[in-house]
Amino acid sequence: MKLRVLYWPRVFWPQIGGVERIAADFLPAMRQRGYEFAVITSHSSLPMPDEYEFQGAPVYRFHFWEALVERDPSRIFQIAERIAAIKRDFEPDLVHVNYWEPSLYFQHRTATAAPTPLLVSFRGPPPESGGTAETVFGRTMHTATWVTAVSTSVLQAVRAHVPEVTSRSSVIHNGIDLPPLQPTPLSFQPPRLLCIGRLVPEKGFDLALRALALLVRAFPSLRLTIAGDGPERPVLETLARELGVNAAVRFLGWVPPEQVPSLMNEATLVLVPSRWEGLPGVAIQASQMARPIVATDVWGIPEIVIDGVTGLLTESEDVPGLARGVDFLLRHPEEAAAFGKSARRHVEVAFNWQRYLDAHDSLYRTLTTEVGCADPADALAPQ
Amino acid sequence: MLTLQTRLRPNDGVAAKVFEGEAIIINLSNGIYYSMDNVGALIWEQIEAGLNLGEIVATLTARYDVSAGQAQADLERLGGELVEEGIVQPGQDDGSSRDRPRSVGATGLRYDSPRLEIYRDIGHLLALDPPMPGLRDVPWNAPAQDAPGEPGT
Repeated sequence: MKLRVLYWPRVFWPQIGGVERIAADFLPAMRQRGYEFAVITSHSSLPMPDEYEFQGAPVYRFHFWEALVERDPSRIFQIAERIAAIKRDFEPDLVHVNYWEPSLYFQHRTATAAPTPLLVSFRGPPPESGGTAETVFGRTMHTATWVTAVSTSVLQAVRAHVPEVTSRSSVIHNGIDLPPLQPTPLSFQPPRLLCIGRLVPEKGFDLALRALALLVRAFPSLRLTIAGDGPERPVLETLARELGVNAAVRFLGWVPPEQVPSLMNEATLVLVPSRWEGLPGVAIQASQMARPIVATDVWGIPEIVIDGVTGLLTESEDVPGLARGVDFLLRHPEEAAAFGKSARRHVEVAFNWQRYLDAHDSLYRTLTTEVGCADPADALAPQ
Repeated sequence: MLTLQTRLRPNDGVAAKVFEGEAIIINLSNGIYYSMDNVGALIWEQIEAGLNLGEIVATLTARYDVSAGQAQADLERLGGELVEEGIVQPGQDDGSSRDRPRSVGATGLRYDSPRLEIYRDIGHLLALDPPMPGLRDVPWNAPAQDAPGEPGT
């Protein structure tokens, strides 16, 4: 008999981002391993139906955010009733929530409709609002059967914030399937830098522009490609002009995921200047394509980018540090190539897609079959 | 101090609704959410109907398998919490007209002490997690799993 998992991400395909990309691959892969999924997620500005099917899994979208902002008890009740009905109909063996966010209020409110083990996965650090019993976050954590984090640094933050989960929590690093495209040798003529991601402040692409401004005098042919889209794009375009580097910058806009490996192959090195990251998929993908990385030493990044081995790390907001890292790698092509090769080897092992699936397969089965024991931690070793 | 003659009046700026045995209460001034099940939901209905605490105790003892002493103690505790949270304000019964109490209906029901569930962080979570702005409209071709659209997290 198939195990049924109610999967609850903040947003879901066809919204696109690192988390959504992984989820879109994860569900079909886990279905092949014998799981049945239903998805509950939020509506967004995309015009989407309330219900549809994604690769055999029903997807239910709700206006969670709007209902809570409007503070309309009738609308909140209607959503909760619908979710309770979905749970009663689907009869999940496990509920897997994939982000801390306001919709967890509805998960908690409907918990009794289908009492099941609850798996909570953190893609980034926890909210600063307390983990007390009088909060959605605290209630979710208190009732979680198991907690996973996408990186060791995120797990440490979660445990520091909610110590009670220490004995029932572990890390599952993201995994990304190795693309069929082989890495090409690094090209330094001309040197090309690449940033990929949503154009939002936490990605730190403004820092990349400022670093570029420090580098163009020494490397007049240096070019920076920024791939992605987002609300910061006008700000970044203006900044590039103000810094006098707009001729050296190409804003590529949104790039389909399947084109990312070939885009990586065009880059001499990849910049990940983030201010905040759970575990950036772009750093994993750059490593898969044997690109050396210059990145900020924040959250999960050092678990992908090993300083001096697969890339170079600098402090957050350290523009001169980013520039020094780029400068070093451009002046030392052999080291840069060696970093890239080491990076590929590192992620093939540590961020392996099959390992990611295996870890969830094992955890799902343990949580659903061992839930009868008083303490699931007896069956699962925290890391 | 709450007495049996106290009438609790919902404050302005409180939105509440009772649905199928559950009260959802929202303090609009600070965005804190509350809920009460079963006994608590009935108490809220009685508060909204304008009954004093003594009348609510009578309703509880008529419907549930509970002593007057236990019901009064629970009601005073819960009422105190509601006052402290700024959801209601206490006043003395002035004998003015009020809605008729609901009929008691079933009797001898199992009694569980009412609990006020509080969710203090929803406003904070909403502020931290605004919806992504629409970057562009991607036509939706259901059930397109091949057409990615708006960037997410």
